[in-house]
Amino acid sequence: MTESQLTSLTLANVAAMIASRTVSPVEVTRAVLARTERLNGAMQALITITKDHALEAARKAEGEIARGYRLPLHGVPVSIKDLFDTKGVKTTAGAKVFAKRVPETNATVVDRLNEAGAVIIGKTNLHEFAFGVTTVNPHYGTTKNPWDQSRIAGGSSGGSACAVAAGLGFGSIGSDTGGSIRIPASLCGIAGLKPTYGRVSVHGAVPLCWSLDHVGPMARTVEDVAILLRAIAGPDSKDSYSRKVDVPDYLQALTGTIKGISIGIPREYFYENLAPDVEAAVAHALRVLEKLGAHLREIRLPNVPVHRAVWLNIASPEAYSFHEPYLKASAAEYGADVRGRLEPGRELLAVDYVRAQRTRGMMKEECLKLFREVSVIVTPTIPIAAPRIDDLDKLWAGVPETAAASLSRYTRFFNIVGFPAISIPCGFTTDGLPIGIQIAGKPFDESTVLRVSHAYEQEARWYERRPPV
Amino acid sequence: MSTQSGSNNELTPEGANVLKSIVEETEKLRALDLGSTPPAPVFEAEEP
Repeated sequence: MTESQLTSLTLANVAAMIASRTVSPVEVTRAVLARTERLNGAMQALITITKDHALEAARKAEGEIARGYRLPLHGVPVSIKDLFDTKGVKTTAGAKVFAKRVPETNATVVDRLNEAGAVIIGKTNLHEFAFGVTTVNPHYGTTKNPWDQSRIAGGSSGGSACAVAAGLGFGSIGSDTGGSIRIPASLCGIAGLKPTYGRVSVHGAVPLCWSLDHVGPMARTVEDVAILLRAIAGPDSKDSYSRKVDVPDYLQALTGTIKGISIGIPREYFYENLAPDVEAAVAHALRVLEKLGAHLREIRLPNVPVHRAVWLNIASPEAYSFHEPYLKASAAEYGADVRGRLEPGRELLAVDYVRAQRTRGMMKEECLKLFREVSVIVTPTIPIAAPRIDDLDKLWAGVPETAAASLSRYTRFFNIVGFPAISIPCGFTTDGLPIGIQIAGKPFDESTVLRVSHAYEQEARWYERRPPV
Repeated sequence: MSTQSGSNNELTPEGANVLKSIVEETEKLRALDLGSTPPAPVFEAEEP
């Protein structure tokens, strides 16, 4: 197979071909590394390419497979966001402040990928300290959108989404505090899942906000996301937020059948002020879900008018708390936008933080009640397609909101309540840019989220399109 | 502005803009009747 053919495969395809010894881990890893080295200068998807480590891991996998030993991700090249600690390998968090930081231990997700036999090819670019949604990074470059390199890939896990979409590895691990997995997944035309709060360990991830941080998989298809989630999910004694809940075999949930399932549609706020192409694509996706046998039901999500205030009053002080010593020592080394987001955290009142956490509790309870009536909730992921890098601060289509600010409009709600939510492609604009829908479920029911996503994906087949890189 | 914590640190222009936006949003939050709702716990371990 050619490099282009190999790197276009899905994670599930390449894992099966490696397991059947149709291709070797070393052959696949070499193809991915060659493509990465050729494209990364333009795409700015990875901060560090771990070529030697990757080839060593691929050779180890090859030997193990030859001896009949099998692991779920054996020999499969993937990347990880440069927010996750890697023993002996620089972990910058996209920040100049951490430019020379080399951890002595691995993040739990890194250990779990290694235990599953994955080949980690490198550390992906991100918005500085994961505190932003554009991956316009003043220290490590702006990650480009593979569908149009004049546009952003989104963030904060922009490098991961770009890498997956551009064929620089078959999956990636991102983090999501207000939409940082789902936003770049939507803008780059891939699948990205924010699991339930506590489902995947955050140990060894540089924190942004302990109450809202989530870790999850990004890949080209829902099946690939299911395989990665199974590998990284589960209790972790090193993470006090991790929950002792069994991890199911998510592949068994991908039955292709959603007949009779009830889908909640929160028209208020979540379907307002959409770009015309997004509105049309999401409306078509809902018709496809109905055609597959789902029942659509209009619902109202709780406390929507205050949810941004809740997010800000939790995220700002928690983020400042972590960054306080670094800001005191090296404030000038922060990018202006991230420093500006961090500083208010020291000015806010403790009573507003508690008020936000109490409102969060109320929102969780009311959302749980809603999920007695519906199995999943479907919304657009983002109201617009990928904005141009130069247009981020412009108001769009007369709405009093900048393009950059609009990106997290529909995603942050599910960080506050902690429920699982995925973004999958649901079409393209007339300019050929990907559009995403968000599908959210009840706590620890990622299986239903994946089942509905997979059924839609297999009917619509948007994942078969490849960007022009 | 009632959100001052007593800090004398100066904000950058970007920080001042973000703080202004948060203060405006927070007014909506303060108007909410929370009754006796406690702060959010993490989820209890449970099967779906």
